[in-house]
Amino acid sequence: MNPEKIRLRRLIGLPFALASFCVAAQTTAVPPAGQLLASNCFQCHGYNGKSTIGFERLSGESASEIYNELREMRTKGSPGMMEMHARGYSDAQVRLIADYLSKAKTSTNGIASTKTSTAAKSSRNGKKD
Amino acid sequence: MNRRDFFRLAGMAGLGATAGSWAKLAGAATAAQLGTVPGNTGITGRVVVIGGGMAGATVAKYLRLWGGTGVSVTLVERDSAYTSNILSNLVLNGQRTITSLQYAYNNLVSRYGIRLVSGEVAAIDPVAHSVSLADGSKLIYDRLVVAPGVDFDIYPGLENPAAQAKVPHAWKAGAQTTQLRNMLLGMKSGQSFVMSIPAKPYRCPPGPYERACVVADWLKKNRPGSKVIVLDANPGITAEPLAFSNAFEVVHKGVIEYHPEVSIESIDATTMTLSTNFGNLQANVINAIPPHKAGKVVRDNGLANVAGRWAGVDVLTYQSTVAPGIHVIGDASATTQPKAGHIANQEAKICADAIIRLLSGRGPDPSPITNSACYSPITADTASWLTAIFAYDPVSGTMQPVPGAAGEAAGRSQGNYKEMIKWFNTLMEDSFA
Repeated sequence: MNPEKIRLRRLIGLPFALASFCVAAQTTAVPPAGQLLASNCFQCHGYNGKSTIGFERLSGESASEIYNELREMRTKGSPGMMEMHARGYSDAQVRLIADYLSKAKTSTNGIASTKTSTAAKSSRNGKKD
Repeated sequence: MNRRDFFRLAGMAGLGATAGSWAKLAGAATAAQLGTVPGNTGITGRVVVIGGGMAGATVAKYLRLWGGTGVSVTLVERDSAYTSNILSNLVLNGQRTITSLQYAYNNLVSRYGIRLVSGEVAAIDPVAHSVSLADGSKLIYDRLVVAPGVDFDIYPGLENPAAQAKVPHAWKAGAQTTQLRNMLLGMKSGQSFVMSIPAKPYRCPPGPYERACVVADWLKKNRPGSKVIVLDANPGITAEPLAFSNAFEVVHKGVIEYHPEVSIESIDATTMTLSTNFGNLQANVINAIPPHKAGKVVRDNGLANVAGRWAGVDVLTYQSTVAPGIHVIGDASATTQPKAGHIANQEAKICADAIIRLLSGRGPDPSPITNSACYSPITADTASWLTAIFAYDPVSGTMQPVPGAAGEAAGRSQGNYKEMIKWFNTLMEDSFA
């Protein structure tokens, strides 16, 4: 893992406490884009990519990191299981999955933008999860 | 591998998840990582789920995770815990116990607020939108999900329960699996283990071939000179042909005898004789896996409209093609996808997402994708794997494999065996934790 990734993961790993805030603010019933597609990852990578007992943890990676990893897998020779999975999605679908997973950092299905997370973090500063 | 190595490995496998216990694993997910039910998504509805297997447990969990507290979910299940079919072949070689494959429903209740009703369904009333239970109580639904898994035909000759008891299929993990393990232990060197594979579709396409390998591997080391005779009703190996033809012709050469296009006409449990289209065959142990059909609740309630055995469904929603408001997921439904736990978990997520959209007056996702993945042990410490991605084809209205996104492992390996345990633990966590 490169230092950039570690830094990003630390940064993004913080706002678990924001779950209820984000969802309360989101009263619409529209399922977040990419959620259903990305749920194909959960069997091995955990809910919203937060695996702790399985394969690589996806939560905490940026959308471009996930997108680029999947793109590389699409062209790799002698494909393993993950390389075959990467070939099952269109480019637009891979972008949706990457975008969803990069933003799914709360403990619920509430999708918080970076901006919201920052604002919420300061408003709930000091409150324990 | 020598005998000592074998037991060492068997001991190691025992260190994996035990007794539904991912929580006991170092680093098991916390509640925050598993997800919590959002309070208000603006969606309300009553969903009843019949059957708490891979499909039923997953749909119940994701209806709450994605639908929020406004979507009430009642899960009706007759057993106190689910016993995983996945990895249950490893009970046969002593690497797992049945208890280590059991998953209780307490997480679904306490973490996601699912109401668990323990009982048996008597009837479904699709007009009144209600489910009657054997105890006389009634559950009202806006949407019903039926996920009973499979039932089995009875081979001619085995109509009597006493005869049936001598020929376990062990294709629904539980007491029969342990019984088959004990029958293996009771074998002597140089004896025969005969198993039969039904014509497609049946649960877990690579499963019977995997069983032949695991049993052959154990017999080779523990009852030398014994044979595994595989009678396959199909024209050839139906899954992972590369891995299993290598296993039959190289790895377990001289132990496994594979015969395609053999159908069982009857079984005599007294003389332990199978009558087939190729003649009679006597065995020391018979493990006959009968043809499958959808669980009884599907067949008894007019939902088995495909060949009288399976539930026809629209794969955008998994809604029955004969009963609006009733969805059928997992092995009981007739789709182009394999009948297996991993893909049942994904069908459940598509069904949950569709029900949530339908409850809020929207249409389902028009282009769903599912994935199938599984690992198959070839020996006590090596495994192969198989995978496929399916995408919705609007022309045929079916899920079709995406070209280039399906295939099997280049070969068996110890790395695959270790990945298999990780895969199993996360899949079970996604469904039951």
